[in-house]
Amino acid sequence: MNKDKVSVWFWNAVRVTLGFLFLLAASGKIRDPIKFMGGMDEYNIVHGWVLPIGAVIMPGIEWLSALLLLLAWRTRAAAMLVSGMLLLFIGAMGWALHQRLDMDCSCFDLMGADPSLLAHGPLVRDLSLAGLALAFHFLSTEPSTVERPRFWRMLLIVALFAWTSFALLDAGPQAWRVPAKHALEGAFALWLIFDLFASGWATLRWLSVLRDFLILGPILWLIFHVLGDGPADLGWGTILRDISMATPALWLVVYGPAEA
Amino acid sequence: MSSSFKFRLPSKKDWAWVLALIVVGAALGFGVNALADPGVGIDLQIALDLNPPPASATTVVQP
Repeated sequence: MNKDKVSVWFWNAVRVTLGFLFLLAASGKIRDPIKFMGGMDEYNIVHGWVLPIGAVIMPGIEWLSALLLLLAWRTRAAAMLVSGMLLLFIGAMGWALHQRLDMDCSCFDLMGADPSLLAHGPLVRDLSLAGLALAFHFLSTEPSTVERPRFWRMLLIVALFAWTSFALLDAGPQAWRVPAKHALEGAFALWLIFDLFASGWATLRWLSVLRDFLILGPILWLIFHVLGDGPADLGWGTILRDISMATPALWLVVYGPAEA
Repeated sequence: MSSSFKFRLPSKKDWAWVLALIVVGAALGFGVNALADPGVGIDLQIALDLNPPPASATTVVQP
């Protein structure tokens, strides 16, 4: 296997992983904006009208950035937004730590946390994300916008909207209201199908599916099924995690290829 | 490192897209919040004090 093929694999995986992470982060905040606003308030940084406006706007921007990353459309701009938001979060958490505030980070409220695994979770998680960041830095070749049929993009947008609203927001038919972890698996399957037909209905790309499954499956499983949301209390592990997430996004901005 | 890795600062086009995404994302956030069930979304009328009760309702009439 030549270097170019390997780079496509990793670039693809990191882009989609970031997309999923932000999709989940946004979905949790959309699901309970009042709780998110309370979480923002605990940081004791912003007050007044900024709190409700921020709690309403930020999930929308996160969701849209995630969507573009998953669609492989204008990923450069999406990565700029993602890295900007992550730097904002890192700054806020640094401030909270400086103030010695005893709180959680309100990052992935949807996924919850598994306390029994938190002892070694942050270290493994940050190592895995740092590995992703390094891979992203050295091996990225995917263009900012990947050519795909317009119909297929629209279909995925509709599917992701439906997935977010039905599975995560407790809307729609009861049968669609599944626990968040199963919703994650559903989204993963959705994206696999999308990538399977990424070049149109007539072009099955079975090797791409195998690639996505081998790379994304363990990453997402590690992050959410095993590690949970990280430390229950805000700590340096959480900040390091966000730095390791911001790094690939920044590399995408700085070293990413030009728009097609 | 292959030749496809070139240091490139964001172009004006990139910034324009970022701005557009912020605007559309914010609109999306407002839209979702407006459509949320009562008690789930943030009531911006109250949170921003855009629709305060009439003065007469809060005026304490001194005996």
